[in-house]
Amino acid sequence: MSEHVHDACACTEYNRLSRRQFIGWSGVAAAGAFSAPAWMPRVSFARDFSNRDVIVSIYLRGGADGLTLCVPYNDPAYYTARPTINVAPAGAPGGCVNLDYTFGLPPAMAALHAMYAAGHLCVVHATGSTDPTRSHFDAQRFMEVGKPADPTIFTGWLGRHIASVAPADPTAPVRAIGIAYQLQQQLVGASRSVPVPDMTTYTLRGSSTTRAARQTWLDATYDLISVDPVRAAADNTMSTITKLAQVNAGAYTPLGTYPYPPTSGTGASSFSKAMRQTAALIAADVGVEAVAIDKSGWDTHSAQGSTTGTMATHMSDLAETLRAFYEDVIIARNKNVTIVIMSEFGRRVAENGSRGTDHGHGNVMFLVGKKIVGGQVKTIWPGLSSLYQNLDLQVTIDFRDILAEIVSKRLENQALATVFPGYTPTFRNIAMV
Amino acid sequence: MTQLASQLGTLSRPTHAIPPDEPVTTPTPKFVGTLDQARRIVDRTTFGFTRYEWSLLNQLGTEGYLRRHLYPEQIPDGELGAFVSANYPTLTMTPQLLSQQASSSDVSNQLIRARLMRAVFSRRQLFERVVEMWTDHFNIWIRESLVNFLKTADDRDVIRANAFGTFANLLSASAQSPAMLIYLNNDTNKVGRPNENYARELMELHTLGVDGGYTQADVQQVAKCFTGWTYFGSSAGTSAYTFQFKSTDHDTTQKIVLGNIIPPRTGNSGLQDGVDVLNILANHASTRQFIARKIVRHFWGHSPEQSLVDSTAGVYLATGGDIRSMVAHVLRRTYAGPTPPKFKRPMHLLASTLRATNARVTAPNNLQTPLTEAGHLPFDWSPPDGFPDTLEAWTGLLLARWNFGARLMNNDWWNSTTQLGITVDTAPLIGTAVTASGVVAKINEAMFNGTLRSAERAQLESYLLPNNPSASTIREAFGLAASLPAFQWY
Repeated sequence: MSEHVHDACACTEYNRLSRRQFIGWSGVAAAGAFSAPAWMPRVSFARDFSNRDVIVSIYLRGGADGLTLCVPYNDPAYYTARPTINVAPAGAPGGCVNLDYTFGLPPAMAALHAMYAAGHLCVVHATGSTDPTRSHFDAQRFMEVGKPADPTIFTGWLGRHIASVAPADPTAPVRAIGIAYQLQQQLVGASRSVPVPDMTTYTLRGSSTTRAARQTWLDATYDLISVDPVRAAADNTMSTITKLAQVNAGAYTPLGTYPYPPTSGTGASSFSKAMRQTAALIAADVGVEAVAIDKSGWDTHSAQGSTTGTMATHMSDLAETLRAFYEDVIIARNKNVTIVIMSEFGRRVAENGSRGTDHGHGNVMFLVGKKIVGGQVKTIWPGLSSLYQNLDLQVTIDFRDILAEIVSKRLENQALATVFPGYTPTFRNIAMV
Repeated sequence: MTQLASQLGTLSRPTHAIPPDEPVTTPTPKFVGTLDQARRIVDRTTFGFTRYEWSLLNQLGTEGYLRRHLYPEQIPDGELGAFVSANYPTLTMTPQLLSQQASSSDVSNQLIRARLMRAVFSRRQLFERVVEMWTDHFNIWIRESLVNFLKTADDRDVIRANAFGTFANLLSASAQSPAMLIYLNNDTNKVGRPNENYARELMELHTLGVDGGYTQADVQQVAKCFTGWTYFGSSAGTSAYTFQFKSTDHDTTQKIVLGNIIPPRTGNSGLQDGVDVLNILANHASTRQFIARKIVRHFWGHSPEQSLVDSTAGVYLATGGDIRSMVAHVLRRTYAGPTPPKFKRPMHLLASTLRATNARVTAPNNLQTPLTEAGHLPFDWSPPDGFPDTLEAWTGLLLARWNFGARLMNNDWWNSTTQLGITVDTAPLIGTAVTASGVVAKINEAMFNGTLRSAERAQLESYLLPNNPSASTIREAFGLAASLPAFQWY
């Protein structure tokens, strides 16, 4: 993260929130568990408690080029600005896949079209943060904390959502997982959240004979001696080791007919691996409510490509994986899941001299789920003739409008002032209750 | 074992281990202070406490110890130096030679392993800590093509050559480093449609800081100033992959950068545009604050105290950005305290574990896997901001940290057939101790300079009881000691 002078305050906020929430919801969990009749299976109890969706939040790190992810192929200005890296109009050879006669998906993302046709994919265009920053690190941070231009806030929007609702499953020891080495900022502040780079290797190594004893020892030691956030992290680690052993993601068999891209060997996709493990986690019904996943490689200043090349490779990996996950988890398993995909900013409308694009402003978001109002490109299209600072796509829909509607309608949390402080969102009819 | 292993030695496969330095004996100790203070001074100067460093502190006193580490070129580094030159021949190669190596990933691996071995075994420990800081500050991701072999030259000619020089020289060397120019796409920044990537990160991450007072217009103007800054291609003989200013790609018009007029320049004098920009940035008040804050964060604590940042920025101003003077300023204050505890990043934790336990490393490639699992393999951070140096970035993934100790002490990284890998001989560390409390006292002495609090000592004892613990239980106790909360901080 970039340097801000206020990080001391942020740490205090973290400690205060995480510890208090941890203790608070431990109490709720205990009460819930004991008030359920002994004969009632915990799973059905959990189901009665909440119907909220599991949210899978995918962040495209580096500033993904929204004008390639969803092509405004009817706008001549697009082809003028992008002489060497455009995607041809729908109908032309190598052209994009039509969505609504105005916008189209690039061929590398054709796999998403079936989801759009089924009404389960919504593309939001000319969206993003209205903050002017073109810094990756500030822009990511501002979006993830859900409050642009505020360097003092440290908890993430998804973290505050988790912290402000009772657990969907009161017995769940782990509520949120970031598939990452460092917990994504959007999840910071969530009680019982933990970064897990790989669910299949999340075990204490060393002698299997002494493993249980060493684990018990570590648990006791960190409870006894450590201070937050380390103590809370140790508690979360222990619960997660136990839960993931139960999930056994390494042995997961997808149900869908659409194959995940390879997760090992040549051409292995770490994104596919992360989504497949997420599928295992959701299929196992262990009460995890949010999963954050990063996909990097979008900072295409040079040799961006269009139907082939660097960006096409990333887009294909993204779309093929999403489709496989959708067919597996949302269709075949019929799980209540909402997927949100965003990036810190779009890229410059005009390509640069390196056949790439520099940092821009407005961008796209993708939303997937059965209760998403899909089959539409939701936009207040500003066009490519009137640009932000004469350079970039304008932002006409604040990203918080989209996220807040999902928090309210799909995650059943009405504390929007907590999740998006200082902002009154306008719902855009992208989700159903 | 060491003798046998060296007889098997070849250039490409390290087979001898670097022996631990024996503590020096001091008839009249000069260090005045508590064991806690001694541990802090050593811990904040190095990649982790050792009995040898503690003996140096005792011999030289606090100021003498600092001065020793401030002049690394005067510290003999024979064992480590010989190991590195015997096993990592690409480290001294010219860019042209590097480009001709059969495997660029082998070049990358040699750099990564040398970096880890230096962190653990170099006697120039403060130098290695400063190198760590600038490597993150001028981060370059080693997995990109061309960069995968050119980072070796950048590490040597930019970072290490200037780590204790002036910030302006370091900045200037970085701006002309082909690895940096490629990583941030300045190699294709040309007149007409410039590429902003380097210009932006130069101001945001290398000098002014994101709130340092520049605008989007400044980014575009700076990009124009750096048009034509690239490198010689593979056919340029001995100049291949060295810096080149290509005047035909340079924008010759006037630019305005942070209010300063850069006049129109043609031909080779166009190079001066970028030089002017670097001078403006190196002499900017925001840069002094930003660099001071970086050094304070690295050596003093996660949440830099503003007064210390200000006085360090004052040293920058007074000394013309002399890095050695700024580091000395921050360390004197850090030694004196009060100093907030800092959470070790994974590489630091692994290095300090190996240092405190006198680990024997004969297969440095084994150091890579645990750091990959912890998300902290050197040079493997793709965005340009470098590995984070915040508390919250590293507290989440405790499991990978616990596994350092677990795997080391279970000989997971040791091949008993080839006798290569990473291993610890606990026998000399525990001496004649046989009781649980006796073993804990020895662990405490080796790893904590005897400063372990009673609650943590009691926990360790509980694992070792009943008395006369087996050798494997003792090994595991060392691994658990490396997982203790107290060992996560320094």
